[in-house]
Amino acid sequence: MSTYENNENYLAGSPQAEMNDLLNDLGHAERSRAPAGLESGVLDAIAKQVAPASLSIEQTPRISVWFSKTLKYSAAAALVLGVGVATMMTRPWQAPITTTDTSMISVMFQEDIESFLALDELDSEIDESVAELSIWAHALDSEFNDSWMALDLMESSLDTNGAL
Amino acid sequence: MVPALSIHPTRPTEQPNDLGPLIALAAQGDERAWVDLVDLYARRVFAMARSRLHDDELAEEITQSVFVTVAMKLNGNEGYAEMGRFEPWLFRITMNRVRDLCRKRKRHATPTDPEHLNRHESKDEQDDAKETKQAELGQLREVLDRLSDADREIIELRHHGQLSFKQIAELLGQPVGTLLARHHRALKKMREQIEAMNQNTGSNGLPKEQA
Repeated sequence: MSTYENNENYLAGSPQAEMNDLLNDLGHAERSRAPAGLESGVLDAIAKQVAPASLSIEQTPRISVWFSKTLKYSAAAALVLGVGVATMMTRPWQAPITTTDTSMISVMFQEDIESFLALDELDSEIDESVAELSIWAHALDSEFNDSWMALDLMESSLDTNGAL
Repeated sequence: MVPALSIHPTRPTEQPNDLGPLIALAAQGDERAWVDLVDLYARRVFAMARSRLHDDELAEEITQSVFVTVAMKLNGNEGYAEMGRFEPWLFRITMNRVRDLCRKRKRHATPTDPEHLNRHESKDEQDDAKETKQAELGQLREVLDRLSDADREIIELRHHGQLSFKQIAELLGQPVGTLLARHHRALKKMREQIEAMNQNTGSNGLPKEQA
């Protein structure tokens, strides 16, 4: 049974029956004027307004979905890269320290301490050497003076006797 | 939620006896149910809107807007409260939408001479092989434009929207007997006006005195 019931029977034999048929033709003409894409346009509008999250109507070109996905991935990659660069920029510039370098620094530090202690020891040895040299120089000086005085006494005795 | 909808080129050949299961499926977001509903009613809604607005694009917009409203109501929290009365409900939404637009047009737009519009339509339709029939339909549109809003609504719901008198009675809240009487009176009025027009014009469409 169609909803469009034929209850124009009340017009049977009436002069209005012809007008009724003409109006049915007019209604048919108006429905036929609808564009070919009316139904698909209505379905698109429903999908867009009521369920925007599930916009995957078969007629929608797939390229747009692909493009939006690519855009999303590109944006995510750019964001990660940007954060990385920003982090590097905010840190003071220095060569990266590796485990090998750390152990090397500790070895070098130990060597420095040893060198310092050795120098300190050397310094005290030098002091002692200088003191010894000073004593030796004093001794040599007094020895030289004594010899010189003895020579002077000899000369004076020669002059008195007229001969050595 | 309405799921992804796919467009099927096939159309249902006839309306199901009981729309209930189809409406229930559509409310659950069944894709095929929506396609069937739109195939069944989109052109009828379009015809109603076009008859009043004389504009294909506007009629298409109205049709889309009506179905979006229906989809939102069916899928909304308030649910579908018009059980068993889907068609009167659908065409009530259509009529309200068309009335609103007509009111806005009257308020803002420059008045349009319906005879001028009909002449345009007739000129476009002259390309069609059924020239005489188109002329008759053009005349009919002109006469329809002259009817009162109340009479016009009955004619459009009946002949453009293809509603039964029972459904129109539900929609307008009037007894079927009253509607039949008003329909009959409107037809008579239209016939008389067309006869008067034909008396004043010759067979070439010109006024009799010029023909």
